[in-house]
Amino acid sequence: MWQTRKRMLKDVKRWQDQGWISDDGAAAIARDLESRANPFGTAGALAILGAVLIGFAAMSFVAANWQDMPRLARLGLLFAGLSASYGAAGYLATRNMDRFANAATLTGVGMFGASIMLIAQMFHIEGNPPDAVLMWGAGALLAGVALSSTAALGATMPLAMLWGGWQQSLQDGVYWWFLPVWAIVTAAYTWHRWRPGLHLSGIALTLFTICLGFLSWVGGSHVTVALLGLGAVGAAFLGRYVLQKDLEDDSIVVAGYGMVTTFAGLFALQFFETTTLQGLILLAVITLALLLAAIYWGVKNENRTIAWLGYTGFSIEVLGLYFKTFETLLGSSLFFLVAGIIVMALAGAAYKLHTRSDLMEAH
Amino acid sequence: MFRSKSIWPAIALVVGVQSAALAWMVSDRLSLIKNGKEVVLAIAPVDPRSLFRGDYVILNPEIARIKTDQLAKGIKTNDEMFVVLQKAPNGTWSYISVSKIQPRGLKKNRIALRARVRSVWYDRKSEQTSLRLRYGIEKYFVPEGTGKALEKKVRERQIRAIVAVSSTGTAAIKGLEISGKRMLDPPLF
Repeated sequence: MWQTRKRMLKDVKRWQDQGWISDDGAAAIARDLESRANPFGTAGALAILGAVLIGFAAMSFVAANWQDMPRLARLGLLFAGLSASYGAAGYLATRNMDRFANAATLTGVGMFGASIMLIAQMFHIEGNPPDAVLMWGAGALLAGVALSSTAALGATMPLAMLWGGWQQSLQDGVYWWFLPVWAIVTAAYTWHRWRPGLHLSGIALTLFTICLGFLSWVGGSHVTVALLGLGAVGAAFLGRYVLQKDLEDDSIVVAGYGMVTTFAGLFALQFFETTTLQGLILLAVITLALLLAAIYWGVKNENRTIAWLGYTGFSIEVLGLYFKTFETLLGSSLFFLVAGIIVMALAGAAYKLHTRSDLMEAH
Repeated sequence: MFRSKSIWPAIALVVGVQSAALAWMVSDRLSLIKNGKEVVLAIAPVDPRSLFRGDYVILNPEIARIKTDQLAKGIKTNDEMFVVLQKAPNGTWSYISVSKIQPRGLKKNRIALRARVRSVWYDRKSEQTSLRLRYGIEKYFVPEGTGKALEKKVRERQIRAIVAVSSTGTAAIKGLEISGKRMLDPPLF
């Protein structure tokens, strides 16, 4: 974010020097950019880091002196730590120090988690270990929603992912209960209009979908993963071009995660499953064609997210093919030669189209 | 961050609910330890890995591995099972039978423990199902520096676990029996 602002300020200075915009205009633009500065500034970032460190300090202090304390005193300490953290959050909030209040809330969430673990330790509770993570996540969600704390909200989805992943590792079938919990956390992010949270939701759902492909013994398949990803890209395009209800930004996000999902499915099909050479070539051609289409669309619409996702996918795919066909060097060099020629030809065609449309516009 | 100026009711709500959840965790466990039926379980050494993991020792009850021919196929990992134990003359409780539903009306010297399937193996030849189970009592937290001595006792089979079992079959560790001596955790009050 701050990089974008810096670059824009440089551009404004250049335009000002060229005489394209007035000095007043340049100053107004600079003021506007400054006023929209990243809400998550250095102070906030440091406060959050400090909160995490204080949490760890509290936990190690307690762990080191734990044994000498009567059990009732230990419980008292935990409740006092919890109340003190949230109390500090309330005090800081009333003094309009929101970033520090946010950090104190995160400390409170950490204290809640530490208390769960220490009580489990005090009474030798092993039980079903993921349940403790679910309880911690529920506490984080409550703090996030009740106090509108983005730090606590941000801690919720990783905890939900840890819980879901842990449950999944304990059983054979797909752990579908992750989805309703994911939906609840996502609803909280939507309700608070917290965009970074929606990215957390996107990452969580993408990882869940990709994992489905690896649970082959319960009928999961990478083909399904790739198709689900394509479905997401399709839905994004439908939203963008058909419904057109201010969906531009959202559609790019959905399309981005859809692309990652599709690519992960296709990549796994090519390199983790045993395919015939013809099958591999067919899948590689499909994958490269889809990636080139994404890059073309991203460049044409000046969307860096899609273009860079495309470039990254393209690089990973090419590396994968290189290693997969390493044993038949001639085969791989031939493949890359053919692929290179096709891409160059596509680049040429794109250039011609571009100049032709420029010429038409000039007329 | 905070939308309303009156932040204190929200703070009270969060502190109240989180404290209540922690208090419930404690009271639930205390009532189980106080009111549950006491059983003593033999602990088997698990070689070759280290039992001592920093601040806790892994307890591997002998009933963690059982064999049965009573069960139909179709048991999956993480399924809930009930293991029936019977008290032996030496005071240790040992495995009698296993079922998917909680057995009712057991004799006085028998009890059903709730477990989850860790892994399952069906042997076609003997038509027996081997189960590896977890009861939620596999960790015994110890003061720093005392784990190694306890680990040695486990290897020498000098340790038995004293466990309280609730009417629903949930088990909680009350303490250990080390070389025949009962070492119960101190009460909270």
